[in-house]
Amino acid sequence: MRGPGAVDSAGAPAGRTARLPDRALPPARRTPWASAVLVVLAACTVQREVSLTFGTEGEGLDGFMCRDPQGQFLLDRARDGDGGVRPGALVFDFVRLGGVPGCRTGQLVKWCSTRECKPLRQARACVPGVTLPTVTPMMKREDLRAAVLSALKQVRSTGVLDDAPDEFVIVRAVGTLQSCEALTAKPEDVELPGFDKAELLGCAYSCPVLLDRVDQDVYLGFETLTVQCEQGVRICSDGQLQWQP
Amino acid sequence: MLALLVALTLTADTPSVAVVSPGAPSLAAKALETGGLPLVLTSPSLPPAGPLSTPAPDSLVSTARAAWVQADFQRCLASLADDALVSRALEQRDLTLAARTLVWRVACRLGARQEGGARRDAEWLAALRLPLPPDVGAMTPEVETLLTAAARTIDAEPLVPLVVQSPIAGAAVAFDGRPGACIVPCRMELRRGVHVVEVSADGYSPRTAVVSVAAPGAETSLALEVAEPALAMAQWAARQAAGDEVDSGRSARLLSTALRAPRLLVLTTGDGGLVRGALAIDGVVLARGERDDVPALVKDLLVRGKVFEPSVPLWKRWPFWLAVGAAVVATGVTTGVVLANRPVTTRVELNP
Repeated sequence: MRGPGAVDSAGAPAGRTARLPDRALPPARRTPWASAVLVVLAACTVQREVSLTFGTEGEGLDGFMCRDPQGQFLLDRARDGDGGVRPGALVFDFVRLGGVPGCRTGQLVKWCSTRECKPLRQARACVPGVTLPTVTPMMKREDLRAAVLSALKQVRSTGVLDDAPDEFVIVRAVGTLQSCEALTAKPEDVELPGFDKAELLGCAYSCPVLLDRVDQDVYLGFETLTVQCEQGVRICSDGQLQWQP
Repeated sequence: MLALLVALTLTADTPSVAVVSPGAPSLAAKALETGGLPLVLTSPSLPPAGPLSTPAPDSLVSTARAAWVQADFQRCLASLADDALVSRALEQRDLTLAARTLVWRVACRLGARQEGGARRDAEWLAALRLPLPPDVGAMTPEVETLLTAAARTIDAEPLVPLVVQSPIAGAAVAFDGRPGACIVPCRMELRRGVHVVEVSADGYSPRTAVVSVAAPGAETSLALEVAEPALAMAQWAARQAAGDEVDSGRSARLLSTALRAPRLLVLTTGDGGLVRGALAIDGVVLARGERDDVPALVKDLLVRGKVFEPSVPLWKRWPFWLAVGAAVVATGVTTGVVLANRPVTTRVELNP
């Protein structure tokens, strides 16, 4: 269930196996050669699957349980005036790091302060219609964690990306009230659309990982020592992973 | 002229092989059609055979006899004085003529009162063990008495060994006009006196020597010269008449000599419609074969005789296996590299 508008720079659906450009060979010759190359590549390609997880108990979901400086849960941004809950979207980004920095937030922010840490344009995946829970008064934190986990499990087994990047990236999951359409790059866009800070619901990210080599599930988490971690969510969802005041 | 010069230049280093097929000329013609050979096949004509020997004339004996009848002993002696008459008659295997020559010399010398010379000729006759010719019956009793006495004297003496050598292995030795005595190196016990020794071999001109055998230790060595083509052909014809095979080693050697062909291919018809062949190099048969296909037989013989080497199959050449090895190594390395660097497609799923 990829984002419906996710396309790569060549106009092909994002995440699929790379194809030869149509103009690479004259029409009379490209078909057999391209077929042969594809057959050989297909025969030699190793197929793997990697799962993204927030931990068995949802221990990586702290970034979806943050409050803003006024003490409001970010999840409560989904409430509408009628007492209902607006569905949001869950956006997965694969952020190119240009190297292998450490995993702690401070290390990542420091790394990205001097380097370009951008989500790969063709690798964004957006899951629409994700309804995250709102917070009820006196709701225990563990209950909230379980509710968020339960909501996310509704999109369980969702295919995020068919072909992961062949480089070290961090995988980022951002909950937002923005639509997938608004967050998907259009053909004329040079960069991915950024997130509206006011619409953010939560965020989680992985350590730098080479998905083609990793042998475990990739754990998405959020590093914070306080529930007032809205600033961390903004950093996490930033297009450059830059410090957010 | 220019074309001839070019042709000679181009063929200067090309070996040639003579092909003969005595009695079946079509075989040689077929052999010449053999293609793909790095040499030239020729089909020379066989030279005419000459006489093996020329009969010694006996007219001098008749002249001497007529002179003796007329008591003209000097003319009689003059007719037969040359010792070469005896040795020549023995070379021609004409023992009777040799005996008549010596007997009439004895008669003439006695008539001329040359008893010493007469006795010497009588002893020579005895040493040669030649039978007394019927002419003795027409001579005086003194002649027969002398001949008998000389024979007794020579017979009473011990035999004396004579060793005959020749660089030609297998050469046959004939003593006093009697062939087949032995093969060199030859040791023969002879009566004291002068003997005519002849050494002969196929492909060579026979050679004769007059040897005086008086005491043990006598030895003579005779080298032979290659026979002239006509003589070689005569020797070959004589062997064929005696039942020799056309492609036998001796036949091939004689034909090589006759044709002056160091490389000779002899073809003949075999049993069951097959063609037999022999390849002789410098007179020695190096390969034999029998097939139904003349060109194939020719190639086979030339290859087995190492006149030329067939092109070595690709799989027998070391560069081929080097290339195969390199290809295998390259393939292995490439496969290893490809397998070690196989593209990986990783599907990412959400599984919270």
